[in-house]
Amino acid sequence: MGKVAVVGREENILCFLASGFRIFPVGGTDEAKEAVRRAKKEGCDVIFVSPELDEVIGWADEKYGESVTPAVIPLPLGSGDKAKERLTSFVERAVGANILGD
Amino acid sequence: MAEIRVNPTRMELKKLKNKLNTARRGHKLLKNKCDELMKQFLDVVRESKTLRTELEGTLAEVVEEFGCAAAETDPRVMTEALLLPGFEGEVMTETKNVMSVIVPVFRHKDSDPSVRGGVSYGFAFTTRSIDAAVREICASTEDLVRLASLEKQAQLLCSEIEKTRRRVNALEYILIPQYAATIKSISMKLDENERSNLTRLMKVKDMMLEGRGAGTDQ
Repeated sequence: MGKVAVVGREENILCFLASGFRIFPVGGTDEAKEAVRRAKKEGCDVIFVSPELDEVIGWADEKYGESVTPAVIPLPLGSGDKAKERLTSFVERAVGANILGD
Repeated sequence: MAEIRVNPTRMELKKLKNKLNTARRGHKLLKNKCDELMKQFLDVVRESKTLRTELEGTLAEVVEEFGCAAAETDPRVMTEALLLPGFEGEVMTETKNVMSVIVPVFRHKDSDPSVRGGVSYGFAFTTRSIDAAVREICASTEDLVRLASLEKQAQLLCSEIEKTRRRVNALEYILIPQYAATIKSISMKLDENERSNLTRLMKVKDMMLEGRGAGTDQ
């Protein structure tokens, strides 16, 4: 049984306490990286990262991209442009071009 | 295409022909695998994009309501209310084999709607907006876990497609042409040897016949 963690600014992620998720309030990128490492060590299989910490998501993709767990995913908050860019980059890597067209 | 440097013998020719057959079979299999992976990958990406757009709308409302609640309530009361959630946010991690790619499937532990407590705090000190936000977020928990599952699957399938496509291209444009060119060159060399041998034999036969003819004349 794995846990779910949410990493981000406290005011944005506090509400996820209600879902029973573990929250890791952070101030900056380095803290967020450390929080992701700690969450993994504590047995979190799914780690949501606030989308403004896009650098952390890139770092986690490199570090944990090939392994089945943990799944480090941008939280669907805000405009979601960065998260959609990430999906588009997957399509571009797999197909060679963005065939989904947005 | 550059040939492989091997001895032009029948043994090597046979080995190379076997290798070429295996390479062609592997190429066909990998191409089929790549096509099927691509189909699955695009389905996953489309689904995940739709789900993400839906969740962005829901969570934006939740965060807004939570912001209102946080403004109206004492932060300590707010944290206290959320400290003991209605259910445990745990996931069951199973794995699925998609064309020999192991991908995770996360399932939310409390998938039975009757189990969901949602609001698990007293109403004495909290406001109404926090109740609505908590209910909303509890309702979207399962979708959040499904989104995580889909995006991780997309990530793993993407890297596998990339690898498989490289292998297909390496077989199609490098290995198979190399084997074909080497087989052709070995066959040409063997044919040439055969012809030269035949010519030598014919020449020897002619010389022998000439020698015998000369002997009978004397």
